[in-house]
Amino acid sequence: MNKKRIILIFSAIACIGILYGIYLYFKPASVSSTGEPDYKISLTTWLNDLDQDTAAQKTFSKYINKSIQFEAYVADVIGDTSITLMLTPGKENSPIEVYANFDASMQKEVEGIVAGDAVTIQCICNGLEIPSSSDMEDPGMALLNEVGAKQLKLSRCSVVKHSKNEADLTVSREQSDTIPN
Amino acid sequence: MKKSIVLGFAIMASLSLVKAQVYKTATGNIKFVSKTAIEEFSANNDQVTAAFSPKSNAIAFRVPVNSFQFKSALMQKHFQENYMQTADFPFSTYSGKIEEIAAIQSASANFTKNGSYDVVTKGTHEMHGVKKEITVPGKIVINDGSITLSASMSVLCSDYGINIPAASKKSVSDNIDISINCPLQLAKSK
Repeated sequence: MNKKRIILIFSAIACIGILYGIYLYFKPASVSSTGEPDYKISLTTWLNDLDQDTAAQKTFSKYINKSIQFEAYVADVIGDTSITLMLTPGKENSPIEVYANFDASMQKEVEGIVAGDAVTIQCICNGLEIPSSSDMEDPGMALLNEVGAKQLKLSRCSVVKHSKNEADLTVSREQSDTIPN
Repeated sequence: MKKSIVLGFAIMASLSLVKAQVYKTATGNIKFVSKTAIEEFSANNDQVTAAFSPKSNAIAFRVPVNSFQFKSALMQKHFQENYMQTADFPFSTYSGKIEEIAAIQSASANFTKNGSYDVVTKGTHEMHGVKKEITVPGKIVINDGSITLSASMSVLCSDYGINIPAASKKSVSDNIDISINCPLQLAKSK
């Protein structure tokens, strides 16, 4: 009787283990970062630090594969299926180009976002591209660095907040005022 | 005298335009496929930075390895942490030069005419912290001022110090097929 009960318990544990393994194996990869972020940051401060402070660049790896939430302005919207927002911390150009990629299945989330809009987004940090001195000796790498020297790459993004560009809103309000009844 | 000054300025302006002829993207696409007898899986990445100079024939790609999107969460985690160790090696790069251009004269090799050009590039590929000299056949498509670079290649994980555990050798291939497709735009000179 006792032996039977032990076998039964072991079988149940094995079954749970197998089922959990199957669940993990088939669990789909997340296409967007949601929930509480690992870091909430000011993009202006972060980019300035990364641009000027080599210590900040050296410790950058702590952000890799972590979720980061920040506010930014949209400089450009790139792509047809998988959308990438090119972002800046303010209305001026940034020392580091920021590319935030949204999975193709998230297209609805970025619908209506245009250059000039303000967004709060949450993404996974994939890396900071900053040229090293040895890169500049290689013609190909020097070419990459010539056209977009410093780039921050983020993916699996989701929109937390979206505010339309005030100038655009004024224009659309003016247009609706002129529409005859 | 006045004419020669104007001519001088015109030549300088055209030279600066030639210098500015670099095409780039930060949103190119790369895919890879692993095929074994019992399992096939793939991953997709839309964050490739690429640049091409038709003048010097130099070509370069930089891939953020962490951006590869898998279907399975477990595979993605293993890829990032156990195989590619993306915290230590966040980027993979290729820097090369076009060595051969098929079917066209080198005089028209500055890719001004619309068409599809088969090319062979030679350069340095760095992945997982290991550098290797490789030759990659590819295609350059010119269409009304826009340029698309595409290429397919195979790499051996073992060549780049990527260790596949014995338990996974039946499901993860050492030979990985990679394809890349990057539509480029003319970059503004800096």
